[in-house]
Amino acid sequence: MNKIGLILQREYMTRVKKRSFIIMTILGPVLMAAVFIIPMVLAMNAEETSNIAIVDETGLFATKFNTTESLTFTVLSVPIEEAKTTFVNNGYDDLLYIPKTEVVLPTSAVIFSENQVSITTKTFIRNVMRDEVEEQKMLASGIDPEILKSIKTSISLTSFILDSSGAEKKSYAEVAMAVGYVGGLLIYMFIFIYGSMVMRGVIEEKTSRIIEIIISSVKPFQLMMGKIIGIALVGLTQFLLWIVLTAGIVGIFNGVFAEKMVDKRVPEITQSAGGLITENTLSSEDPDAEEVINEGLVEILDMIRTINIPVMLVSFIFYFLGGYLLYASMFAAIGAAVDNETDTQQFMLPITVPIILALVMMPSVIENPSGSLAIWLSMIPFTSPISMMMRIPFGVPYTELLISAIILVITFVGMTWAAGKIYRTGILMYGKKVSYKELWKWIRYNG
Amino acid sequence: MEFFKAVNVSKQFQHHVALDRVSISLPKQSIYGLLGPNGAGKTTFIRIINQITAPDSGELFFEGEKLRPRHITRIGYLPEERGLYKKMKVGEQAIYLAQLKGIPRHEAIKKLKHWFEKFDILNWWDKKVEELSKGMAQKVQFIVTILHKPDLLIFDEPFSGFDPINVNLLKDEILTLRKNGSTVIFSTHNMASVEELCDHIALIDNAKKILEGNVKEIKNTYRTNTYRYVVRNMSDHPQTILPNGIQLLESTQDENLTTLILQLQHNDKPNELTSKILQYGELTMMEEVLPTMNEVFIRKITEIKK
Repeated sequence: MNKIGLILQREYMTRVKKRSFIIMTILGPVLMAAVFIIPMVLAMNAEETSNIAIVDETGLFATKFNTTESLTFTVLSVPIEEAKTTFVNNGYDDLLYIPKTEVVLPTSAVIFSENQVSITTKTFIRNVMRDEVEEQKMLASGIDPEILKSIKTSISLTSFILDSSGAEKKSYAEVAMAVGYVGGLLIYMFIFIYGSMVMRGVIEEKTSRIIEIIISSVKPFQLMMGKIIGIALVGLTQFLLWIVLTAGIVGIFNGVFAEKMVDKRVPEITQSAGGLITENTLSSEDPDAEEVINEGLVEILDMIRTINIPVMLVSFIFYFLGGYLLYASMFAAIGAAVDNETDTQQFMLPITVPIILALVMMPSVIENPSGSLAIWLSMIPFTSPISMMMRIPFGVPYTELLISAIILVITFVGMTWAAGKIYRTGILMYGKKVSYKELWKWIRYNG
Repeated sequence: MEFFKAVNVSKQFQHHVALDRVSISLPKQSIYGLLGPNGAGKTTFIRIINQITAPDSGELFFEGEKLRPRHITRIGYLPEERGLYKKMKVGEQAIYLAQLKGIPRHEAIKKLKHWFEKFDILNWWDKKVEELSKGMAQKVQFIVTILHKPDLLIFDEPFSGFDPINVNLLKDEILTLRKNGSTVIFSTHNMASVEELCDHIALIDNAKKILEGNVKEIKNTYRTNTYRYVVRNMSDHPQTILPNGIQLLESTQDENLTTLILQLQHNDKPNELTSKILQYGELTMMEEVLPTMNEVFIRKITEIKK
């Protein structure tokens, strides 16, 4: 099988050396790292503040707008007409005008500004006014706002899974869900990106007419398998590089900017410590928040511990490769059956429908990972790589895993055999529109 | 003993028979022409010899042994539909194809450099195939086909797309390979292009072999007793001097030279006619006109149809 090795090597090397591969490999992590880094940068640079002048004709809100980190409020006691003409010159960015109302409480206000007013500013103002108006209304109808506050309750719900021995295991649906989604989506991406790469490779060999030169030296099946495995390695290389590079970029960023972040945090903490002495309302909130964060960390670690990592890893690799191999051989058969890429449409449907179905059903599977829909989808080999991957973090009985795996392997072997037949006939067939009936004949055809 | 033999090879595709009990036999170091019109089944037959497709029935023998996958490294095949990876560099690609034929890498590089130099294309080594012209690419393909010194060489429509200079280059190389021990199969519909090279031919039409044999023998069998005479200063009109039973097929006049193509009756000898013509002018040339393979083919087809 030295020849499969040669083919594999060529398929791998030509693709890895391609400019588009190198660009994608670098660009991918940069984009992914940007997803992590940009929010951090934004958080650091969100120091810009707006000065807002208030003309409150109702007199209700004069003390209610507390200055925050990014918003500074100043109540002006001049008529609105005058304020409108002078607020920019006096160094204010926006002017909030709450007009006088008769009888009823105010429910509307106007903001004047030179620039677009940010949504955060608007939301902040709206919330402050709403809270105040609601409080006034409650007081008017004889309800004490303090009582209402004490009524509000937050329920914490912890769920446990009882295994056969009766031991309790805390279950964390959220983490399982995230792991399931990530696993399923990775498999989906891998199948589509690299499966269609296999198809394009086959079409390239056909249209460049090199195919007959090659299959006079190697068996078509060897060529097909060499290509499929070679491209799988290209995909694994790219995925691995993506992960390593993303981690690297984020790591370097953290290393460089971590000090700045700490610097920025220290005064914040001292500030709130200062607040602790002066303002009682604030002091009661902050330690709480910290406790929540600590608890959260412990909980996340605990959650990760509940997922059976070895099973998760082994089955991820199995379904990752199994799903790819199953679909890649179908993609190869399609490539062999057509003369150019535009003709592939009619044969793509049976491939895309099961994958898209598995994708669309993701939320349903997550919602009820042990339901009959999820079980069926994880048994059908065309959807199982994605659907089973989503179920595994929630725990799947080993018998089900085994049955699903066996079905996938059998289908993969059968599909590769059939694809090999189509491939062998198709690659030497030019200028012929091929129908499904024809493909079926090729499968049954000897020789 | 024959070097390669095919016995009763048949192949059927869905709706038509591509080969119907075709047998051929190649003596060692011969050049064998597989002739016939397009769609006769030549390419299918060649693919069967290359083990790209399998026959429905029939057997093939390589040096008396049943044809097996391991014989592939001893065969060199230049298909009719031939191309190269467009984005790959010429040298790299040639090394790859040579390796697939079982030549170790370092040896392949050495041999390729030698051949590239011989064909004067060494400066293309690092070019991409898409930068080459069709003729250039075909030189590369030819080198790759013969690089592993195959004992059996198969060329399917080898000269289509080549300019005359390159055709001669190739023909010379093929003759050298034959001298060094290779056996060659040519498959073509352009019978004139390989006639002078072939020792043996088989005519294939409509999936059947309709004629096989040594080129000289076939031409003798199909001789029509036709002769060409070139006479200087002919004194009379040719038609008036011809004895009975002799047919004037063609007569052309070029200054004072008259060319006559005459067909004698079956079994007649040209001696009498020649002495007759000698009386009317100065005979500068006389030769027998043997049928071309095209003519043999057409006659054979019409015979079969009757």
